Amino acid sequence: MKIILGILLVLGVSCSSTNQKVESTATTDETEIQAPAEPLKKRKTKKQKSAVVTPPQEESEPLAEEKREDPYLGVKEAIKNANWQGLEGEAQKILEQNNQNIIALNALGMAHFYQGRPLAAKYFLNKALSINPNSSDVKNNLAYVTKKEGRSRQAIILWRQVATAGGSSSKIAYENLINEFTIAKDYKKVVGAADSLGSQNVTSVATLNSLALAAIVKSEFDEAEKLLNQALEKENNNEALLINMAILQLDFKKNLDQGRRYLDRISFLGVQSNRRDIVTRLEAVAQSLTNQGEVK
Amino acid sequence: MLEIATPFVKKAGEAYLLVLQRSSEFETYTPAVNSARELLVKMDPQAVPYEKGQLGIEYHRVDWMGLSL
Repeated sequence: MKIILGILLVLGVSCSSTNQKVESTATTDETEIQAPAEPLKKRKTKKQKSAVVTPPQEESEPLAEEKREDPYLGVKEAIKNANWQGLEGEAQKILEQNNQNIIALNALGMAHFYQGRPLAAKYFLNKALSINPNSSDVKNNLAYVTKKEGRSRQAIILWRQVATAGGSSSKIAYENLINEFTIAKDYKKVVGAADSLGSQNVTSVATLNSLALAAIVKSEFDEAEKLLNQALEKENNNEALLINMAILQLDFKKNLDQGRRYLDRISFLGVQSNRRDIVTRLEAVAQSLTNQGEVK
Repeated sequence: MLEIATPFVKKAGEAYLLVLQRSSEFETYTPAVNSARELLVKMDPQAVPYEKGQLGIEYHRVDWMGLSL
């Protein structure tokens, strides 16, 4: 009897344990069946959460903090929105913490300049330069303010200093030099500065235009056309670009069809009164090219 | 052109050219330099071969020290 009871007990215990096993597998199956709507990545993160080591979370938290604690975020936003009054306030906030901060002094100077206070602008830019006399960025902006005051020669001297010093701000200085020489129509200097700059990573329409004019001087007409097309992609109704393209096609490439196309576009958009003479001359050139074609 | 005017016109051309050379040398570009160029182009277009009235665009970049978004 005892033996039978013992066997029954053993059988009972083993049955209950197998039932538990079946239940446990059933529950895991259910979770796996209920979960498929969840994307794979989410499931992976759930597993990571349950794990003891969670390196991705540890990395992401400081990044978020960095973003929140970026001291220049307000300054960046003000520059982006061209909010010069806001920029002044933001720069001053930074300077209250550290009055030797060159970046804030530079921003404050430019904020004053854009609000029509060039003297204050120069004061803060010079203050930044007194802290770091080698700061090319500040020199760039001091040259900018000097140029806008009408002292081009002084500005050119400063930009050249920055350009020849090298570094990240030399590109800006070269671009400014090229545009300055283009306005002055000193094409030899434009070519010199353009060769130093190169055409890579140039995005501003004015600089692309200047590089195209430098290419014309070097008789690289196809390169000039490419650069002008790049600029026209950004500003397709820019009158100066269209006139330069018409000059390139008619005067240098002798391409009547293309030249006429640009002249028609210029006429359609309307010409500024001080540029009417150029367009009249170009129309005469187009007419003479047409006559030559008819004679041939 | 009158024969009597020829030496004076030639001298004027030389003076205009000198203005352009000196302005480039000293990097000083005044309205007088522009006038000299315009007159020289009218007088002798070959003296400034690449000048056909191309236009520059007045634009200078500001250095925000990496703060521009």
